[in-house]
Amino acid sequence: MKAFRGNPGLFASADPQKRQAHLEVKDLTLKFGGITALSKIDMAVQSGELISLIGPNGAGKTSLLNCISGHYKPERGKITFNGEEITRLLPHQPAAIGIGRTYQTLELFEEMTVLSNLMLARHIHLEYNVAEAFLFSKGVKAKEACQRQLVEELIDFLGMQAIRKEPVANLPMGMRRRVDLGRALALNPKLLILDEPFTGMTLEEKDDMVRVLLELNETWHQTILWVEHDMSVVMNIAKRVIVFDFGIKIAEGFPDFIQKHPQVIKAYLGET
Amino acid sequence: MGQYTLPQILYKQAERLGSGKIAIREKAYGIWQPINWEAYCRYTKHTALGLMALGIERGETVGLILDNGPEWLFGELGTHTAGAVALPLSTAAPAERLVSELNFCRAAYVFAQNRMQVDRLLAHRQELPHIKQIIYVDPTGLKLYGDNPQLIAFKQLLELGEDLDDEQPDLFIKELWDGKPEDMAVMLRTSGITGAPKLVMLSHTNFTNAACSWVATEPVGIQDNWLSISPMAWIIEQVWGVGIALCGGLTTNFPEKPETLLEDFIDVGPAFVTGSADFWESLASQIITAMAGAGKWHRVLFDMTLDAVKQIATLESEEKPAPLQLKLKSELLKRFVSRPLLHGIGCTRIRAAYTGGHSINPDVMQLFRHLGLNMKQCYGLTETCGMIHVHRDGEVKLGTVGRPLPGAEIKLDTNREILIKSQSNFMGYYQDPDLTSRVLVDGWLHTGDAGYLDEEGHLGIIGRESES
Repeated sequence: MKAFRGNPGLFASADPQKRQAHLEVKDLTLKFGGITALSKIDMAVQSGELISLIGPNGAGKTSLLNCISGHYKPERGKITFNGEEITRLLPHQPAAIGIGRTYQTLELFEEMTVLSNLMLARHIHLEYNVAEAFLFSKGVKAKEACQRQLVEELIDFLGMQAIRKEPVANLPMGMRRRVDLGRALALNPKLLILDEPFTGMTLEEKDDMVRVLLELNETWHQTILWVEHDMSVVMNIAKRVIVFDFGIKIAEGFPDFIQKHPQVIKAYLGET
Repeated sequence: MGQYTLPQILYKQAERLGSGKIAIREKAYGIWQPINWEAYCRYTKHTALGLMALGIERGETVGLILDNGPEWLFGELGTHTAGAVALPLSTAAPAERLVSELNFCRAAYVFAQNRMQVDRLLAHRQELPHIKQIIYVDPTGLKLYGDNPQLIAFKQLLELGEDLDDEQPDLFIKELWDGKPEDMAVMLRTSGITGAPKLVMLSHTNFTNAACSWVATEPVGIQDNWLSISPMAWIIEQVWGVGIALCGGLTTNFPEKPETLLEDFIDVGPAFVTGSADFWESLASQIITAMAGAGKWHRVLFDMTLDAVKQIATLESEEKPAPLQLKLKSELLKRFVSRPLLHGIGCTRIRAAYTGGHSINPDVMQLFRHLGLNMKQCYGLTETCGMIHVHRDGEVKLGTVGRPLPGAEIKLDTNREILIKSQSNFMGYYQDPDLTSRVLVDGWLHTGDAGYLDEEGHLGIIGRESES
């Protein structure tokens, strides 16, 4: 019954202490040949925050996310997550320490169903090995059922019941972005990183996504670092905004402050 | 059953069918979750006691802005148990309409499905002075409201009910049997007969009479699957959900989401389905389109099947025997063409498929009947508590709506207006005795519809009397 739902096990059963997420970036510089993509970036994300990272195209937003998730290795500087240095981790390692992310250019298994994509994202939480899975004993079945329950609760939370068995390739962009968010959430991350989650969505899908992000952050205290171009959404729901331009952090503060910041206006509108 | 109220019938059914028979099935997390009759009665009891713990008084009105789901049935029957009147409202209705109807009836409590409905009610809080409490079903996103004293979760309501049950174990039985069958049970919005929207008052007796006539006429039995697909604020869903399903011991199935309806339909394989003319016409057009795009042999076999069935139907109407060869061909084609096709749309187990509301294109009805679906047309109004006319098995005449149900009488006045006398005729329009007295004269309901009766007593509908 709906009355007994609304508490997805992934969030509800998690110990808030164990979901602490403190990310710190210090003096980070990233270069591609002669181009400096990021220059001496200092920033921090505190536990429970909903931070938006904005900036014009080519400002270095996605580059920073790629440094955090281990895809790029910066020339200089340090990234720490909950006190542990993660600057040199391999791309698969951040997931294991509690960093989940979505991608601007969706990274889903298109031929697989939504359900399979989400189940696959739970693989780091599986408590059996390949041999045990092959034998598919009673114990493995029970563990698999537990994982399925968690994924089904997530499908319910994100309202994806109608596309559960649909291959991702058949879905429109807005729905794929939702599946990508589900895949990142299925990891049960301490820090959720979203790269332009509203791109390609209809107005109605954007409304739903806003509700989901607010519910995640305000009810379940999910720490979210989020890159976005849609300024109306950013200014309405972000608790704090960081602005990049040409690889440099030019401003940081509450949405009201950012909207009036002269350097931000200059970066978006050019010289007047 | 006319001597009982609806919750009393639930109580009796729970005693009779207990935990062994399934009353409700709801698809959640991709799995059909059953609720037996004993649990159905228990949840209703705790909902009723929860409302009493909140301070509900007999005769008060409770608004229900709910999706089709078990909470609708518990909320509505719980309201009846507490002696209050249920006011089902559409979840898709504009906020202004919800506010005006809740105010018109001075609704003291409201069941709201989710955050969207709660947001709408709270946004108009100043205009809703009578509402004491809003009970929300889906808690997603509602923790953000914190400790708003006007809000309570359905789950908390059930807990309040359990606590009150522990304190006063006899209270439920006392309140249950204090209810009288002639009490008002439901108020439903309709714009039928006069065109202007108004609230129709229906008693428990109206529902039990309508349901019992149906159970006596149609092949309805315990544990037969019925799939709830129309909004619960419509009379057709009300009379099936809290009338026929309750009196007949049917299993009510609730789809997971409106978007999963077709998949859930195929899962359940219902024994009965009630759909609007639009629903069936859209399904027929999907079949025709799919066949037009199918391979040559599929198309040939499909046309052969329809041809064979049509030939038999023509011979039967002329009272001539069909040749054995034709019968054999028709049976084979039914087995290998029609049945797989019906199976594909979840209609294999359907004993009767009903359509009502608007007249259906006879070609659509004929197509389904030729494919082997026992499709029948119904006629009824909110004021008659749902269907009052239906095609009987073996007596389906296309273009008519069949004969009246037992206990109902029908006649036409000089203007060919259809007049109906039945025990399921409504109590009156809420706070509109003038209109009631114009529409309900000496027990005869003036429907405003024009029709004709053929020599076998089948009713044909022409249209609105004012337009004919």
